Amino acid sequence: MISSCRKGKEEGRRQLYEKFYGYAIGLCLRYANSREEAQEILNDGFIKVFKHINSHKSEASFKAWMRRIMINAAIDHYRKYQAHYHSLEISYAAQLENRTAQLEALDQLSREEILRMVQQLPPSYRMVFNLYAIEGYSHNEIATKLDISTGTSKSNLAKARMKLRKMMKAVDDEYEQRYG
Amino acid sequence: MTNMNKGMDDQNVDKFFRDRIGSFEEKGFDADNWERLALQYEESIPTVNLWEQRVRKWAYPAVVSGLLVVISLLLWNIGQQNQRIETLLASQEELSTSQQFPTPQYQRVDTLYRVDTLYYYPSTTPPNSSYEAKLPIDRIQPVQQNQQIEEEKRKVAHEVGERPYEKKLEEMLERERKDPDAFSSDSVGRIVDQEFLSERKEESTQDILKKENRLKEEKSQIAQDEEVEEEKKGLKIKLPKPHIRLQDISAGGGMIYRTSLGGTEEEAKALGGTAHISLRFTDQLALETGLVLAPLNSGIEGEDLSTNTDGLDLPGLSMAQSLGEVSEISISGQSLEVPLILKYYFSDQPAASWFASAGVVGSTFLNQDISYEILEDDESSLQLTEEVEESPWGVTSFRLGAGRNFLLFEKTALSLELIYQQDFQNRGVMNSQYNLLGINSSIWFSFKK
Repeated sequence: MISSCRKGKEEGRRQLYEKFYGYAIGLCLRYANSREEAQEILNDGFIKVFKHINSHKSEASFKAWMRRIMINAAIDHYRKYQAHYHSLEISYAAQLENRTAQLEALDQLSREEILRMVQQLPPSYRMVFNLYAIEGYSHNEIATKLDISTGTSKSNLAKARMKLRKMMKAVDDEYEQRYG
Repeated sequence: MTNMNKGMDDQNVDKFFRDRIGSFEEKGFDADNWERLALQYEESIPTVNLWEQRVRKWAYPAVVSGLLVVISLLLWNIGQQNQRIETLLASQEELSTSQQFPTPQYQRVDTLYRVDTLYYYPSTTPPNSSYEAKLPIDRIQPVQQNQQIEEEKRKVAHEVGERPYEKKLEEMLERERKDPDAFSSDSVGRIVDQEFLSERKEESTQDILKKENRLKEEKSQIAQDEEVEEEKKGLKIKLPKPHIRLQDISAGGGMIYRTSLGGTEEEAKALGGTAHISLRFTDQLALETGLVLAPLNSGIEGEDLSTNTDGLDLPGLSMAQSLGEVSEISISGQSLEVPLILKYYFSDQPAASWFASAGVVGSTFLNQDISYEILEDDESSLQLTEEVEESPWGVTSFRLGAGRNFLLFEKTALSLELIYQQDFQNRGVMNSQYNLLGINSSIWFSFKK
């Protein structure tokens, strides 16, 4: 499949897409606030994969290689729409309280619902939280990649955690009210 | 699980989300999105015509090479034209000298003396002039008749006295000028064939007239050719006619080894190949051009290349940085260079002469492979490679050299040259500048001796 893709065959590309779509979209959804945005990131990432497939050495894990490309695509996407995101962050903050009230107890939450909590974070908080807490990047690396200071990175992470705690608490409180 | 978020510290919050959604995968795939992706991918592939790409790649060197050939021919023809002018001037001078006719009496007397000498040594002395060559054979006397000659010489000696020969001749000339009749009747004049001298004078006059006419015709022909040339080109500039001589062209090929002396790249060491053609437009000056194909490498390491790459716009760099810590960037490329070199030979035998050279170099990279060494963690690393095919042509360097030619065979010479080449323009994707010291060894072949 990969060798077919390397030869530039469309069938190979399609097979690659079918096989890794689930993995890639799961990753992209964490960096986006909607499925549409996640698919934009995914498509950008797949185009990079197709173009640079010859750079991938067979001994390295293809999944790990693709994961890094997808993360890079998400960062590029974030940078591209940074100004747009900034204006959106105020409305995100306003919506947060109402949405969290609708969540169920954490234990009962599905992966999709937890994912939704992350998606509800303002883009700059979400980006830092994903890169630091889930991908394991350092604040220096995040600062370089997002073109921000390490102080901003740390601050955004702290705010992301605070908002996530609030959402988790809201779910927990609602569960207690319902079930005691 | 209730109250599970109470008292949850930062690490636990991170762990909660990492465990639940860090490896989240959806099942199946979105077929509609594939259609969009396939379309986007097709649109992102540049559709550059291959033929156009090749033309663009070779247009610059073709134009430069054409210009080099034209310049070389012009310089060469100027040299040839100068030679022709010199030949014409020499012929004119010769002509004007010959026109001092009739022959002065001094020459006549000298001729007589030589004839006299011929009498003495008929078997060993070659004829010194056409006059002597045309002497009737019966006038060359055998040695046994020396007595008669000695008698004549005594008569001459008596006539001119015992003074040195040159003075005697001068006196004889002076006397002849004053009284030609008296002189022609003396003992020296007797052996002059008056009839032959008269013929000789007539012949010489005819020769000179013929020569003069021929030169006039040649001049007239040159002037006509130049006029025709001007009319054809619609220009009033007098361009010399092409006049190519094979002995002025030589071609050669060999190897070149270069190492970096500085610039932005310190690790550029490589062996390459060369092919040259040389056009000699004077005995000691030649214009040389050709091709030099040699690897030129560059790279960076030992810095934090994940962050410290300001000013570098390398293909694949951002992707490499997103894959991990970039520890090394190395670029290997094939450089194609076209030198335009003026070569001065310290003798008029270039095939075995010391020489000095100076000129400029146009260059491009036929291809460049960029390799990123990426550290994923402490133990593993991966390599990402990118290929850059297009690189613009440009006049990038000046070159100085000195060396020697050694004649191997009749038309073959070995040339050894030490060269120094310094870039004044950036080259390649890395914007590199090379200061190179090299040894150029080549075998040269002349088309004609």
